[in-house]
Amino acid sequence: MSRNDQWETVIGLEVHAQLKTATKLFCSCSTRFGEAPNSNTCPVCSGYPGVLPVLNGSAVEYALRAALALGCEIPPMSRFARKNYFYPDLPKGYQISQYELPLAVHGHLEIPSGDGTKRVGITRVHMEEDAGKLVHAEGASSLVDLNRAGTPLVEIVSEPDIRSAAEAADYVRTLRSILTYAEVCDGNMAEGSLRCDANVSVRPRGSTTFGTRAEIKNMNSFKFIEKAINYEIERQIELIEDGGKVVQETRLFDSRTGRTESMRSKEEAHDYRYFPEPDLPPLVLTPARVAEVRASLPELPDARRKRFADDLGLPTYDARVLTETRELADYFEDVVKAGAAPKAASNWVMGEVLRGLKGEAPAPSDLKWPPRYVADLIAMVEAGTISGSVAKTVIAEGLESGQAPAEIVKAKGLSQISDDSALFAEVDAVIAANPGEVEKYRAGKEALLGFFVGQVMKRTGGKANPKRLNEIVRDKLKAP
Amino acid sequence: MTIERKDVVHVAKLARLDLNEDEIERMTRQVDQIVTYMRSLDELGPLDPADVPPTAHVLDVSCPLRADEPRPSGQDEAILERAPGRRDRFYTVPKVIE
Repeated sequence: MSRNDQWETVIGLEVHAQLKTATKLFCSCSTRFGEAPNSNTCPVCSGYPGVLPVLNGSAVEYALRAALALGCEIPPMSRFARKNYFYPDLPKGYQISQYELPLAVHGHLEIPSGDGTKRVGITRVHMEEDAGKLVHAEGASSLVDLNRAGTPLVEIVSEPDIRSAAEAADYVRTLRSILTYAEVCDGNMAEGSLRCDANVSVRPRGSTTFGTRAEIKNMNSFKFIEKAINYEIERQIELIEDGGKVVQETRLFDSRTGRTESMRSKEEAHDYRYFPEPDLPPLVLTPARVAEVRASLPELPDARRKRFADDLGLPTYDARVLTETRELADYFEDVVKAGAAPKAASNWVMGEVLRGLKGEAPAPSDLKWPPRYVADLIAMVEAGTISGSVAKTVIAEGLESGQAPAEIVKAKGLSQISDDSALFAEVDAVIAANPGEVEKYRAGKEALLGFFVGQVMKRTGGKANPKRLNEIVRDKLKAP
Repeated sequence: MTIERKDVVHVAKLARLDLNEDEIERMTRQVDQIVTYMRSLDELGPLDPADVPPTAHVLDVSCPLRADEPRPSGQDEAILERAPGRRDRFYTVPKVIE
């Protein structure tokens, strides 16, 4: 019996997403990334006594957008609360967060599961401020940069509905896609705009109570989410099977070793003594305001995926890949709008265009080819002006240089040879050079057809019209 | 006694207060008196607390909102200068070991 049959993993995720505001949550300091340390600071975000927080209206709007995009209910009133703990990146000695009355509750999202989807519940979405950044330098000191302190975040807490590391990564991928579609977060995991903590526990399969959970922090890529959780699952199962007990604690993932390590330094910090933030009155959101924000939401990935499949006739897989980011979906739709057939457009965008984009966040706006050029290229293939393989060369070159497809074809002389007399000459030459193969073919080894076609393609630099070439080769190889 | 010595020691630790024996004893007594005083509310009669929403804020207003327009404070340098420890543009704190 494998471990998988004996143990079930239960995972709940807490994702922190940085909202795309220009200023911090409670002061007018800029949120720009990469500025000189401690340059975007003021008495409010530096925790000076006597100052008062003033809530950023755009942060509320973005948080609402996120919550509505996740299908949440918005209670008429939410409240900020102080979460008290001491850490050098938190100048006030407390973080302003939301506790008893969060902004939003009871949402959900759908992650891919086989051919269909699986629903993962969202317990709550609340607003809070980010802490500063600690830099661990050499010597007796750590360094503190408060540029990030006070940056608006939403914390999105899932129900413990996730059952594997792969599902956890899918959940974060789906969430990231929804948040970027809703334009509330840039989704950049490397810069920390999207951060994920996982509550992981295991229990004997069939059990209905939860095992003791450990909280895993510091997983800043999809790869690390899977790696960290898988490591943690194995660790807990081994521990229990050896007669030990899982301790409720925070564990830090170390991407160099691939292990999770206990974070003893924070063990005592879990008594946060939350209380309502006296400096901020409750946040009241009227149904009219909520409706207004709901109406401003764009088409979300689920709806778009469904439309690509149902209206454009794309396979589920294509629809999923193309809708992962709004930019890629827009790019694809623009190729279709420029006249390409949806499935051809999908093949080229998922193949060559995606290949032209690197990294986890495809940014089609960085491409040197506008969608219209891809449509032009597809039209040239369909008209027989160029072959599919030449088209691949053209797009690869176009994505480098930005030159239009027709220009590249013209400049390089890549137009297909569809002229029969030119093809006759090439085919005759190949037949003359390979008498042995000709004999075998005529003796019945018809698979050799491809060999002759390939030889002609080689001689013509791939420019022979493949359809016509096939016909000619077949003709010429018939017994004399 | 509503508040016991261990409560005071726990809260003092969380608040990073270094109390001596005398202070622990005095704080236990005083905090207990304060909490016990809250029992005066019982004199209001048989009021069901579930009927009364807890007051988190005394003003009947919604949280005022601010426009999302960056405004440099112009005080970043002054704040850095006042820090107990500084290296270049960073604040320094005793080494944090993870």
